[in-house]
Amino acid sequence: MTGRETSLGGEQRAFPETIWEVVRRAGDRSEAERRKGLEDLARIYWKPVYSYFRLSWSRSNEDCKDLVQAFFLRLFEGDALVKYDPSRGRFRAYLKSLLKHFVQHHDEAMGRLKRGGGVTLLPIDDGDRSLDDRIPDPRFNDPDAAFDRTWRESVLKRAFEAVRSRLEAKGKSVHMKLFEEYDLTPAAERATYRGLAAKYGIKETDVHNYLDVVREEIRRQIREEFARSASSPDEIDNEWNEFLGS
Amino acid sequence: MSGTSSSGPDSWTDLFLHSLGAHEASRATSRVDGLPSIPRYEIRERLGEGATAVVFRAWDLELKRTVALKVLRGRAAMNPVMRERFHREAQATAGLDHPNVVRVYDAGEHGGDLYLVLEFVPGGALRPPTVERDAAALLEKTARGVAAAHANGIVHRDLKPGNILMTESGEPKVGDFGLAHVIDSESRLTQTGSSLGTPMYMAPEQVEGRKDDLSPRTDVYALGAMLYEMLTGRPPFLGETAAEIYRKILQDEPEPPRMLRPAVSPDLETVALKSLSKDPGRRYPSAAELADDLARFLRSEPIQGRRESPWTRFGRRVGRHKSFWIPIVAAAAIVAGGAAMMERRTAQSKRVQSLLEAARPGLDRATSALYSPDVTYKAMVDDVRSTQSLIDEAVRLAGDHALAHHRQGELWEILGYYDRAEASWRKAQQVDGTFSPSHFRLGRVLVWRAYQANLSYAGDDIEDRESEARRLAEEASREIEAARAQSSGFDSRIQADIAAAMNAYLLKQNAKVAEMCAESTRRHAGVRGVEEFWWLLGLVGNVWKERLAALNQAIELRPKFPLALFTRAVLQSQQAALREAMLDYDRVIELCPTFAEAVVNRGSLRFRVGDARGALEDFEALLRMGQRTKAAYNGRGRTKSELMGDADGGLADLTEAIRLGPKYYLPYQARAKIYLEKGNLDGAIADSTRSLELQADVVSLTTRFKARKLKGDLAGALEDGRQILKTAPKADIQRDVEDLERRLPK
Repeated sequence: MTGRETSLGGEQRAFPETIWEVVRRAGDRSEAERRKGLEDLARIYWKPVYSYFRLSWSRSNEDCKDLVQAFFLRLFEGDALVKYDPSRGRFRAYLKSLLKHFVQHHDEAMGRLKRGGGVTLLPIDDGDRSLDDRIPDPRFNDPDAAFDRTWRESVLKRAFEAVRSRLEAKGKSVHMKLFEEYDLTPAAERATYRGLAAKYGIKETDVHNYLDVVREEIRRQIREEFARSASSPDEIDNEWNEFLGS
Repeated sequence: MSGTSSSGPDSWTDLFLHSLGAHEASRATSRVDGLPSIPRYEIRERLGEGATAVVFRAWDLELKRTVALKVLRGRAAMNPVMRERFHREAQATAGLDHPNVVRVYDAGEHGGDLYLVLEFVPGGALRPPTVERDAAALLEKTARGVAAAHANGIVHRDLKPGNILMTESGEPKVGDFGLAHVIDSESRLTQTGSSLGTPMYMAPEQVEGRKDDLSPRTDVYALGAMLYEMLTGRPPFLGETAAEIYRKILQDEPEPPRMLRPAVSPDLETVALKSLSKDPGRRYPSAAELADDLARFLRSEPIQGRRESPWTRFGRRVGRHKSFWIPIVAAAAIVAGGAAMMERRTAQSKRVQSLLEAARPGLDRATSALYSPDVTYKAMVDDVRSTQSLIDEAVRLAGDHALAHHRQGELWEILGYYDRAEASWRKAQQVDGTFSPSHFRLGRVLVWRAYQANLSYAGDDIEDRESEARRLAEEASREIEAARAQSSGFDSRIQADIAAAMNAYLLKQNAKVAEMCAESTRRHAGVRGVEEFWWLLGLVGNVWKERLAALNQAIELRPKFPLALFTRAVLQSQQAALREAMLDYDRVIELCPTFAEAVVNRGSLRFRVGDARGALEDFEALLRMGQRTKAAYNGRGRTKSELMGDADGGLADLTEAIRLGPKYYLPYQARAKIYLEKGNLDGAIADSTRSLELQADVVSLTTRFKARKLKGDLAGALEDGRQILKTAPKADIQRDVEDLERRLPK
C-alpha cells in the first residue's frame, strides 16, 4: 500500500513535528508554543469530545460544553499527554480511553468542574447550533461512533476550508465551486458535467480534470493532517483507510 | 459550505466521504494501466464511481453486446463485509427476470477484483416526469420491477431515484441491489443493516434499525416517497440535518401533497400517503398492490386505497367519457370569458401558492412556540403577524382555495380563536369536500368546541348545552371519520386515539376515557399531542390530586394549552386555591381571548375575592366581545350592586340577565336583595321565591325570611327561618325564630 505514496516525503517535510511532540516536550519550548499545540489539539477534538459526552450523559448543551472544558483542562494540566506512547496505538484510541475513564468518574469530574469552572481556555464556537443537531441521530447510539463520526466531519471541514483558501488564492475558485456542486451535491440534484461545463464556460473534460485536482488536494490535505499525528508512514495509510471506511 | 449537515448518506459528510472513497478507488484503478482487465470483457469507458465500486461500459467479446461491468476494487475488495455484500447483490438479482429490473448476466473474480456483469442501461438515473400521469405510469413500472423482487423473497432496502435506471425509450429499471436482503435468510450482514439506506426514502422501521420489521412494505415506503417527490417536487420530509429528517420520519406526518400542489389528484395523494404510513401494516403489503392501484388510477378506475363520495365517482365517470366532458368544459370556458381568464387564474393560483408556501415557516414556528415555555404569547403573536398577512392575502385573492382557508384555520387555532378556526375549515370543506386535512382539523376543533359548549352555568340551559355539545361531538366524529376514510393527512395513531378518547369523554364514558388515555400516554410518550391525553385524564379522574398531577403534566408538555389550563383553574378554585386558579385563568384568557367561559369564571373569581374593578373589567369585556349573555349581565349587575353600591345599575343588569335566562337563579337571588334594601317587599318575596324554585340556597331563603317578616307574613317567615337553621345555625336568625315562635299562636 505504501509503495505508491511518493509524495509522503514532502508531506513529512511540510510538518516536521507531530502535535504531541510540541505538547509533550513542553520543557524544551516556550509556553506560547506549547499553548499553540494544545489549542490545535483542542480545535481538532473539541466537537468529537462534545459528541461523546452528549451521548454518554444525556446532558444539556451547556452542561456538556462545561464538561468538555473540564476534560481538556484535566488533559492539559495533568500528565495524560506525557504518558501517551505513540508506539502503543493511535492517539484517537488513547483519547477515547481517557474519555471513557472520565465518563466513568463523572461525579468526580463534576466536582472538578465546580472548582475549575469558568476558565476559558478553548475557542468555543457558541453560535454553533450543529452541536445540538447531531444528537438524535439513531446511528449515534454509542458515544464511540459519535466521536468517530464527528471527528471525520471536522477533519473534512478543516481540509475543505484549507484547500478552498489555497485554490482561491491561486485564482482557482471555479474548482471549488465544481466540487461543491458535483461531489457534494446529492446525485439526484446534481448537474451533469455538460451542464457544469456550460455554466462555467469550460470544456466538459475540464470539469473532470478540475474535480480531480480538488479531490487530490483534499486527499493530500487530510493525509498531511494525519501525518502530524502519525508515528510512521504506514500509520498514515492505516488512518486514511480507516477514515474512508464506513 | 452551505447545506452542511452532520450525518446521513446524502449529507455533506457522507457525500464528501463518498467522493474521497471514489477518488481513492479510481486512483487504485488507474494505478496499473488505467483500467482493470477482466477476461471476455473489453472495457470501454468509466460510467461512474461508487465508494466501493467502479462501473464501466464494456464490450462482451463472446456475446457481442454492450454490458455494464461493476468492479469492486482496492480497499473495498479486501473488506470481507463488502465482498459479501457484493456477492449478495449477484445472488439476489441473478434469479430476477423482469423488464423493469436490471439484469445480472454474470459474476466473477479476477486478480483479486470482484466483478458483476450487468445489463447496460444507457439513459441514466430516473428523472421525474412533469406530468402527473407520466409520474404514475413510471412509478407503476418501477413498482412492478420491485414486485418481481418481492415475489422472489427479496427486499431491495435502498430504493431511491439514483437506483432506478432509465432506458433510452424511457423504461425504468430497478438496479443496485447491493443492500438487498433475502427475507428469512440468516445473515451476518443484516446485523449492520440499521445504518444502510438513504434517509430521504427510509421507512421508519429502517430509521429505527428494527431489522426484524424490514419487509416488502419497507420498499413500498420508498416507492411512496418517490411518488410523493414526483407529485410535489420535494421529498416527504425536509430538514437541515439528517437527524432532523430522521426525527420527522419517525414523528411527523407528511404534508398531504395537495397542500403543496393543489392540482395533485386526490387518488394519487391517497396512494402516496398510504404508502408512507408510519405503521407498515397500513401500507400496501407489497409493491404489486401499489402498482395495481396506480394502474387503476391510470385506467380512471376507483383505487382501493380509499372509500369515496358519489361526487368523486361522478367526476371520474365524466373524466372517462372525454367526448362528453370536453365540450362542457369548452363551453364553460367560452361563457366565462375564455382563455384569457384561464390564464389569469393560473397566474393568480401561482401567486396564492407562493403566499401559502411563504406562510409555512411562520406557522411551524408558532406551533413550536405552543410547546415552548420560553416563548411568550406576545412574542408568538408578534412573530405570527406577518404570516397572518400572507394568509389573509391568499384568502383575499382566492376565496375558492381550500388550502388558503385551511391555513387560515391553522392560524386561528394557534391564536386560540377556535370559533374562527372552525369557520375557516368549514369554508375549506365547502370549497373542496375531498380536502381531508380540513376534515381532520375541523373534527378536532369541534371536539374542543364541544367541550366548551358542555361547560354550563348553574340552572337554566344545561340540557340545551349538553345537546349542543353532543351535536358538536357527533359532527366532530363524522369529520374525523371522513378524514380517516380518505386516509390522507390523517394517518397517525395518535390523532385517531385523541379523537376516540375525546368522543368517549363527551359520551360520559369516563372509565373508558381513563383507560384509553392511560394506554395512550404510554404508547405516544414523547410525541407532540400526547398532552391531550393528560388533559383528558385530568378531566375524568376521581381523585383531585391525581387530576391535578395529570393536568400539570399536560401543561408542562405544552405550556400554551388553554383547555388544560382552564380545567386546572376550575379544579384549583374548587379546592379553594384561588390564587393558583387566578393565574391559570389569566393565562387561558391570554391564549384564548374569546374563551367566554374562562372570562366569566375569572370575573366571578374576582367578584368572589372582592376585586370590584377586575370583575367589572371581565364582565364588560364579555359584553364588548358580543357575549351579551345572562352570565355577563348577572356578573356585572352583582358587581355593581354588591361591591360598588350602585343598586340601580345593578337592578338594570340583573333584570336583563333574567330576561335572557329566565331559569338562571343567580340574578333573581341578587335582585331580591336589592328589592329588600329598597323596601320593595313584594318584589323581594317574588324574586327569592323564584330563585328558590330553581335552586335551594340559604341566601334567597334569608332574603325571603326578612321580607316576609317585614311584610308581616309571620308564618311564612317562621317557616323560612326554621329552614335556614337546618342548614346554617345563625345566631341572629335563631333569635328571630324564637321571637316569631313566641308571637305566633301554636
